[in-house]
Amino acid sequence: MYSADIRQPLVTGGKTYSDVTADICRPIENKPTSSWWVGFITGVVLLMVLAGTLAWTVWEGIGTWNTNKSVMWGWDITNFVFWVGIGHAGTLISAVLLLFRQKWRMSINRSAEAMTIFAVFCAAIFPLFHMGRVWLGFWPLPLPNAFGSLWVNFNSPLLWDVFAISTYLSVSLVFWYLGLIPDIATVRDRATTKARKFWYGFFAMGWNGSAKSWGRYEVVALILAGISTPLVLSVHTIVSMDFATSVIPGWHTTIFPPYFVAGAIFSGFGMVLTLLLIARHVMNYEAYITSEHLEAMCKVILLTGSVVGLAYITEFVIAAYSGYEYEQYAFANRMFGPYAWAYWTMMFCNLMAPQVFWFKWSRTTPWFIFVISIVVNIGMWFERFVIIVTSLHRDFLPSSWVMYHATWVEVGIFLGTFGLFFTCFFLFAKFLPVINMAEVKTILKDKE
Amino acid sequence: MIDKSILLDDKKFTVGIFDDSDKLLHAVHTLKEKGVKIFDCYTPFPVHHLDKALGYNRTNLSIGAFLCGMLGSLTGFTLAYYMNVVDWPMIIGGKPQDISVFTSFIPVIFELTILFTAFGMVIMFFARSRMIHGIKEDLLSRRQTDDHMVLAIDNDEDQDVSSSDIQAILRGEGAIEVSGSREAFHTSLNDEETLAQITANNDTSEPVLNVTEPEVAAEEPAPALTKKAEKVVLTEDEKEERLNAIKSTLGDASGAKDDLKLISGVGPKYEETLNSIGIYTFEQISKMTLETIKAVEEITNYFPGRIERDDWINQAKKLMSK
Repeated sequence: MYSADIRQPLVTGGKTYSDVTADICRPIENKPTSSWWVGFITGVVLLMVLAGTLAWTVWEGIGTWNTNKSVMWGWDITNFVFWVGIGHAGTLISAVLLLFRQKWRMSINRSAEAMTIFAVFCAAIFPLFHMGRVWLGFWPLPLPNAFGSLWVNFNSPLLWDVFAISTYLSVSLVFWYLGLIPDIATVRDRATTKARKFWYGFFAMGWNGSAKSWGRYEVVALILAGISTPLVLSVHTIVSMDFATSVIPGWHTTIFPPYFVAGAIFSGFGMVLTLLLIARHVMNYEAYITSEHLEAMCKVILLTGSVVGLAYITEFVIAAYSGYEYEQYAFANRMFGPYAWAYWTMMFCNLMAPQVFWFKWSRTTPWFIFVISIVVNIGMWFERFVIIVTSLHRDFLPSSWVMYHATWVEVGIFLGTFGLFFTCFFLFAKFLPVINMAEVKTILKDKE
Repeated sequence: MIDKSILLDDKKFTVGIFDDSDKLLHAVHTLKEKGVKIFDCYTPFPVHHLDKALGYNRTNLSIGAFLCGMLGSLTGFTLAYYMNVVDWPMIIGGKPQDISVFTSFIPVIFELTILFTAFGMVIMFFARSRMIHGIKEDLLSRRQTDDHMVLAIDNDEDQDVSSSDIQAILRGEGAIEVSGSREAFHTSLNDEETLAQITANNDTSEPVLNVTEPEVAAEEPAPALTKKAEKVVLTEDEKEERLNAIKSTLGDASGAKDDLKLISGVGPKYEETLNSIGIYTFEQISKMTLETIKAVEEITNYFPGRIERDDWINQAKKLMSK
């Protein structure tokens, strides 16, 4: 096979096939390290915060949040869009990069997909609990109403969202699980305890790596990637329509779908970088997640960050050009109103900070990338906050203008979702191969 | 659990085991040229062009996936149309509820198309490959999901080429292990004893290799693969003798002590055992020879062949250089 010499190998350190197996199975087959325990316990503690604040919300009522008649969507929907956005990188990496034959995806796609799934779990909490009566959470499903045959409204983007996100979650799960099967079989065949043998044997579904199965497997993976790509794009498009189909100034714009999709990829890659830099360090996977990988991801961040920045400016220019005073006021209020601090935080974190990735040093220095990835995460949270809260708090009628500040319950729920996210992620890192062994073995001798 | 039984019970296979995908591919080409009918290959990762070389057609799963997708679209449309137009039209903003609101149905139709395609296709894939939760795997080598690539030829198949010729070709193509009659096995229980049994069972098929063509066999097979794996019960004298052999090759640790747990395969308990026979440092482990490995395994009742399989020597060398 032809390979260009100027490219770096995708896996460094002269690993053999059995090295790959041994390295990646090590966390599964050995007792967890102390850094794993620290991370896991922190996650569980935050998860308790989530359980507590959610229980309080249900017990005391939705009034424990500061959302009100004007700002009816506050931190809850901000967090929902934030987590859904983060959930975009996983499937994007495995699907879109598979279609583009980007081989560097192979050592990061597994953990990115896991991240997707956990992020969508976190996201789903918010609309569900915002309904107030969470035990009626099945009402958005297309079921006949208990008091007659009043069905769900198919004209509503909120209903589209129900379909989009549940489809996205289930298809991502299938894609992830399909990729895991050969690796689970590897763990099964190395197992030395009965429990491990049983459970990995159960989930490996009898996989034995036959060439016939591999042939079908690759076709299935390709088609799944093909259909997941428009799916990824559709999910955040539909999320953006939750806003764009309304008549609220600042929301009612056609730029929203592409702008939200770019933002989702941007925030997703930000979170992937945060997690992978930790995982790479804690688990000694520097040979698999090389600086080539980090650099490639930084470039994606630079691109999508610039797209998002362009969207901010376009939005502003179009508002000014529209001659529609409510729209003009909404944007002036964002920049100079009471929430200007949030707007400028967003501008700094999303538009300016990623521009440092034009310089090679910034793309190859792990600690610096880590700092920027955190900045990106913060910036993308503020983007959603700015869009939702600044547009709502001063609407058409000045008598209903209000200020909105989150209560400790809302903050607790948000922090708690990080607990859910990290608990799931650490369990995943302990019990499943974090890197796709089968795929990495195919590129062991490759350069790209 | 049910057996997968793709490799039917009592079926015997001639297998060649490779450690390199290019060699496997080349062997498949050579055998095909000579008209040998190959049963299947088993690899830890997808080997490109292998399915073509074996003469497999591209799977028809994509057609099935398309049909599932169509079913999804239809379901989505029917769902939305029935609920919002036929059964209970909701007049919103004075707009009519008839086929003209079709555009609002598109997102739901689209999502259901994808949902049905994905699940339909994956379920078909599992059915086609006879995969279901809890089914027992059938393997021809314990390492075929790790680093071994197995080429299997059904012994019941009429071949133009004689069995010994096929084995000779496999060896010539660089197979690290060749066996004339191997049965599929599964690794259902895997405590120390059955693991040893499985290895021992594999060995019963080995003699073919040694009996039919001893002169070729002497060249290639790695010592670990022909090693007897039954648990050896040692007498005191034998223990003494092996301990001395270990000491003389590995030397004395002279008070130094490394964290042997860093070696994959060594836990706290086994580290103690190693210490008890005088092994304390990576340097000592890196000096191991085949005889000492065997002696260590026998004395400590360790999984036979595992030290070599996990490549402790190189692991120790790497750890030393850190």
